[in-house]
Amino acid sequence: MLSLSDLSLSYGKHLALDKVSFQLAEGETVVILGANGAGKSSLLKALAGLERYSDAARITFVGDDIAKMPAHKRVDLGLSLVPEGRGLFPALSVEDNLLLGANTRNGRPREKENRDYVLDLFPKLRVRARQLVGTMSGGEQQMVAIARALMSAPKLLMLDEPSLGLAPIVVGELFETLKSIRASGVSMLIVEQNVQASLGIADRGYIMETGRIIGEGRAEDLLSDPNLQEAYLGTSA
Amino acid sequence: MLTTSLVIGLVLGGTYALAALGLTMQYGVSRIMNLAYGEFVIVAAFATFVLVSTLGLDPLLSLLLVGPAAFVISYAVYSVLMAPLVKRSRKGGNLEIDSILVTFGLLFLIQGILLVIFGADFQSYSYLNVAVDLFGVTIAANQVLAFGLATVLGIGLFLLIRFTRWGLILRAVAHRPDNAPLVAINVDRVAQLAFAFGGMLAAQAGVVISMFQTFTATAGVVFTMKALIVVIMGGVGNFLGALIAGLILGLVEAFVSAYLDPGLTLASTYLIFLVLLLWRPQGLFGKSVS
Ligand SMILES: Nc1ncnc2c1ncn2[C@@H]1O[C@H](COP(=O)(O)OP(=O)(O)OP(=O)(O)O)[C@@H](O)[C@H]1O
Ligand SMILES: [Mg+2]
Repeated sequence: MLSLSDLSLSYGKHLALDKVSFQLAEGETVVILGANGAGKSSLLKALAGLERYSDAARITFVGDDIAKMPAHKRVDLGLSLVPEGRGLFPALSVEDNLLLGANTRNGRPREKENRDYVLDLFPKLRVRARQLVGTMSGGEQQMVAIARALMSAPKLLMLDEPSLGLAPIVVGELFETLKSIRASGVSMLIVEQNVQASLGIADRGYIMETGRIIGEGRAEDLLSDPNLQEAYLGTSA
Repeated sequence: MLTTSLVIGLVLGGTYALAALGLTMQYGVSRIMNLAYGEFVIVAAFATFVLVSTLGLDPLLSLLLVGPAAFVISYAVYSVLMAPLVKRSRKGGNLEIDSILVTFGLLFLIQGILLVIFGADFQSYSYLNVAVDLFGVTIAANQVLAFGLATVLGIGLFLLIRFTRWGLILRAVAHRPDNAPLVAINVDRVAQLAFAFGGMLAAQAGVVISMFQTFTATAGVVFTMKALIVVIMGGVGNFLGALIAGLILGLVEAFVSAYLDPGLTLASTYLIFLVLLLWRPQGLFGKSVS
């Protein structure tokens, strides 16, 4: 479904991604793990078309070459990102944010069904439809951000640290929700610090360090690999 | 005198609101500070003047011709003058300052052409120049029509922006252009369309104004200033705010003119502007821009 090779990205002289390559098959949920500054967010932003990267990079998504495609067209094709910081429109209502999410080729015709679907997924949003997103709590905003991305009817949903700043009990709920999104057939690419919970719902994982992918494995194997836990993930598990 | 000022204030305010809505589009959505905005208003007034006096066209018909023409012309102006600036701003240029400089030049270019063709005199044509009685106030029928048109166009635009997907997209780009691509919005394209749409509103305001006011080739800058004041008063990118602020400005001018001195109307406008900039730069209704 998604395949990329030789993706390099630098901010000025600083090389944030160094020839990153990987694949993600249809229906798969893949987690990207790594220390702060490893380049995880940069990778997702590059895939979404929000950062400029090397000309040599090749990215194909469901058969289309998207390496030179502007960000808005990638969303239209079904590649949706919930970025770090959530990327919402704080001065607009929950309802308006969701409607904007549906502004894609596949989202527009299914607006009503998708709206029902995401409101079932996050029942709390149903009663908050009129509330301005900027006045909501961090956890609620995260729900809006994920719901909005789902409104676009994505084929691949990319999430950048969805559990960041959430209370432990809410984190549990969040991963339950992600599990059910996965069960609905949407592929996911998740960047997370919460190693245990994210690998718990994933098929595979990649380990990143200073702009490079240095390890890869099936989720169960990564979870039970003591060396890896110690070496790259510290005590965050 | 009170009702007279009120009615005249609303007539003026309606046209200011209409003019300001166009500038809100251009500044709030496209992020272009168009100092030649008032020139678009005046060119439309002159175009109507020509259509009415040479072809004997009804000014209402002119509204239907001049509006779409202004859309096309503004679209082209964006392609030629603004698109390169937008491109450059991505590599560290400053779109706001660049657009002020470019449109400052455009202002004098358009003004010069108008001066050559029409001279510096006041122009006007006579249209529906009969007195009607409105709430006990005697007022020219053309002013009533102007107010009606400004109201219909203003409210129509407001409904469009508030209740359609297209309007929602405009609000999203006005609010957070950086986040708009995440919801599949082509920001460049929306900016160009909003600029063209703003030019159309400027032209419509110009046609409406020409129905009841005299105008000169050099009057554009006053309209730019007034539209700018209304936009800032209403809060940049806030369409409902611009509508209300336009009416307020019209009322203030009418009352200052009636109760203080007609010579002070422009001064009162600028006073509002200064107070606003110092006291509420985010506008009367603006949530602070964060
Ligand atoms: N806009 C930018 N300008 C300059 N440097 C940047 C920029 N964005 C990121 N970087 C640098 O690139 C490197 C990778 O950043 P990135 O945000 O991708 O890391 P990350 O893996 O997401 O980290 P975290 O876990 O803290 O979110 C870091 O060293 C960071 O300082
Ligand atoms: Mg990050």
